[in-house]
Parts: sequence; C-alpha cells; structure tokens
Amino acid sequence: MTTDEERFTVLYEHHYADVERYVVRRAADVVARDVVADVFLVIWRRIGEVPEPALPWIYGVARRVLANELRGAQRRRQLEQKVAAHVDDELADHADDVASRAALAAAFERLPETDRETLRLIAWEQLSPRDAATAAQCSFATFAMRLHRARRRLRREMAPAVPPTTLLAQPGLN
Amino acid sequence: MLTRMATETRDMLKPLDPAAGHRSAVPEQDRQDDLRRILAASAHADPKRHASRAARPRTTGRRLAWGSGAAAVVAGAVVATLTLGGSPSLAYEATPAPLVITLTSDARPAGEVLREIAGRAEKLPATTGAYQHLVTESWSLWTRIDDERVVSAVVPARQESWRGDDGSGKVVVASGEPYFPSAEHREAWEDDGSFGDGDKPQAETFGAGQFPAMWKDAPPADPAKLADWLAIAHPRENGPAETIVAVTDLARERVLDPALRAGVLRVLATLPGMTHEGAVVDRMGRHGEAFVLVSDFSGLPTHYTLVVDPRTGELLGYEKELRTEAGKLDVKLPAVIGYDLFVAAGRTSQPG
Repeated sequence: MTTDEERFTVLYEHHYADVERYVVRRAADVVARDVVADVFLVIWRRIGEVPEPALPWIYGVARRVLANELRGAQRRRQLEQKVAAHVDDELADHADDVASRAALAAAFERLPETDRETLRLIAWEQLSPRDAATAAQCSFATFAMRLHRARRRLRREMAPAVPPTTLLAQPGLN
Repeated sequence: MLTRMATETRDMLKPLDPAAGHRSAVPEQDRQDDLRRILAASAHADPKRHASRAARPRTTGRRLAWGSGAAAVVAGAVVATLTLGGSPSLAYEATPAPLVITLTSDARPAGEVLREIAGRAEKLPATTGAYQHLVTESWSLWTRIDDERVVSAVVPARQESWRGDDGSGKVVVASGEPYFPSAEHREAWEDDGSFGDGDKPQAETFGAGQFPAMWKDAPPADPAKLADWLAIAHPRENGPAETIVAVTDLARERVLDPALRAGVLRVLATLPGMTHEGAVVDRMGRHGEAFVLVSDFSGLPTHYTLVVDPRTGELLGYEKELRTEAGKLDVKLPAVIGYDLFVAAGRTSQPG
C-alpha cells in the first residue's frame, strides 16, 4: 500500500512543473520557488483529501495560495508587460501577427479577472471544462456559463471601436 | 458545443501563454531540498522549523518585503507560512498588543454612525496639489525580511509615496523599530543575529503612468458605483470583509478626498455584520471610532477593525485580530495578526 509520503512525493515530482508554470503565468515577479513550496506544503497537509485526478484540485490550492500575491497591482502590471514583451519577442518577424496578437493581449487584459482565469485554465493549463471547474472551485454549469461569457466578452473587446459619429447617427441616441 | 468552445479558446489564446516554452527556474537540488523540508516540517511540529530556518542563509542587509499582497491572509498562506518560519525557543510568536476599545453605550447600528460621519466628511474642503502624499505603517504576521518570516519581533514596514496626477511617482519603503512582546522574544531576536545590521530605505521612482496602483483610474464617489468599482480584484463571493480589504487597499494607494471619503464610508455603512464597537486610541495616540466585522473567509474567525476619525471621516487604521481561535498558529489569543496605520494622507505640490 502506498503511504501518504510516497503518494505526495509522486504528486510533487509529477506536478511541480505544472504548478510552477501556473504561478509564472499569473504572477511574474514572485519568487516562484517559494510559492510552489507553499502550494505543496498545503497539499502535504491535506494529502488525505487529494482526489484523483489530482491536478485540477492542486490548481485550486495554487489559486488560493496565490490570491494574496495577485492583489498587488504592481505584479499585475509586470505580468501585463511580460505578456506584451512575449508578443514582441516571439512574433517580431510577422508584423501583422504582432499587431493582431498585441490587440488580442490587450483585449485579454481588459477582461475582468474571472473571465481571464476561466480562459487561462482552458487555454494555458489545457484543462477540460469539467477539470477547470474543479480548479476554479465552482460547479460545472457555472464554469460552462463563465466560459461562454468570457469568450463573448473577449470577442467584444477585440471588435474595433465604433466611431462617435456613427453613434450619434443612430436613432434614439440623441 | 463546450468542447468546441474549449478548442477554439485554446487556438486563440495559446500564443499569449507567458509560460510557453518555460523552463523551470528551480534547480533540481533546490527542488529536492524543498521536498525534504516540506515532508519534515509538516510531519512534526516544532523541531523542524529550526531546520528549515537554518537551511536558508541570512543576508546582512535587511530587506523587507511587504505590500497588500504580503499583508493579505488566505487560508492556504496560513498553513504554508506556519512551518516555513519560526523559532523553537519561543512559546508563541511576537504580535503587537491589541487595541483597547472603550465599548460604546451608543446602541445605534454601525451604518447609521458611519453615514453620520460621512455627512460631516463631505462638507470639508479638499486639499489641493498635483501629488497625493501617503504615509502608511504596516505589519502582518506574514511580513518577511530577507525572504524569511520573523517570529521573534514585530517589525513594521513604513511606506511613503507621492503619486502624481499623471500616474508618475515615488515609493520609499523602510522597516521600523522592532517591538518585542517579552524579554524572551528580544533574546530570541538577538540570538538569531537579527539586530544591528544596516537598514536603508528602498526608494523607487516611476515614470508617467507607471505608479504601482491596483486601480489606475480614479474611483467614483457615488456609493453604488464605488461598491462595484471596489469589487475589481476583490471578489464579492468572499463576503463583506473583502470590501474592507478593498477599502484599505485603496487607502494605501490614494488620498481619499472628502467626497470620496464620504462615498467610502457610505459603502462601509451597507456592509452586513458591521458593528460600531466604541472609541479607541490608536497606535499613534489618535482618537477614533472602531468599526468591527467578523469573518472567517481567510480561514479563521477574524475581527477586521477599521478606525475612523469621527470628525473628519479619515481612515486612521485597520487591524486584523484573532480573538477566539488561533488554528495552528503559534500566537497567544487575543492576537493581532496584522495592522495598518494610515499615518498621513494629503495632497502636496512637491514630490518627495
């Protein structure tokens, strides 16, 4: 029979990189090693509660541990800069792509945090909607609704702004 | 349908992944050290703490890491920081003395008292000047120095900032005088070599639009709109205590001019569970009224206290205190686990 310590060690080895990436994606300037250690310490404390599959649940723990870090706007700003820098670095050879992806990055950053987290869990952590619901600590139905709305709002943010003259020309606005 | 949505989302956003191609920054040896420390620290209580402490070398220059993030308490952090710091020689960790509140005989609801103060605040003249000048003194049980928690003394952090209307500014952070609740704590601090080393303030300047602020835009003074605005990055599902966290985050980064101050007080007046506990003299000797809300959203039943100047509506202080349960924290009840003193808040024409 596997002991708690053995099970924890396996989880630690298998998911360390996943948790580190989760942290790096959301808080660019924290000491990732310390935060990851904090996350795994919580997991060790609660080893008897860890379900299978474990990773979505682990992301839920990481979310709580990181919550205080994400409150700081300086960190958010640096992450935004990192996203922008990433776009520049990776796509500098493709001017059109750079423009459209920079617009996408900007639109993404304008979304409410709940929307961004919903989209991150799907796109970056590559979770299924059901697992993402576990990580976000909400029901599957709630998550499905969040995903639907987040996508809609992202599209809306990416739509070109309507010039003021067009607005004025619309009936009923004056 | 949902699967298709997920696939499309991945296709669209994958290129923005900040961790795409990310290689671990943590060397294998460090990773294994952390694993050993976690397993050891949690398996038994105290003796391992010392081991984990010894594993981290101290640097001579003291650097204090703090901020709203460091001060915030989440359930996970409560457990996590518990075992990564600590001193085996102490019976309990150093915490500041709780505020002494003179219980009020005024039986009116807190909301009514707060609205009355708001009415006075909004009639006051606003100060002028292109820079918002703030001085805050803070401490939290999770404050780290040299990336390590200090449990033998209370070492507050003092932050002074100047924020220009163009979003430029300067922030200076320094650590204050250590406070020891007992001779035992002072001895542990000295045994640990935690005294006498130089502590220079850390200053950082920011260009236009770069001032580190949680909210870049100006808040609306209208209470209903302000309540929505405060909910940005402060999820309502955490309950009314989250609004208190939001208000104090705001006071750490912006001067609350009279109209905004009145708006903030009126938002606070709507919080369910808030009580007006009585008069208090704060850690700087200022007279205020204490408004208290109890919440366990951070993991333990915590008393969140706001100290408000009844004449001006100015926020003087914010305290987090455990009165009934310490969980696994090595603190003596009642225990203050964090405080902020809003030392100064006003406009000036000159940056520091």
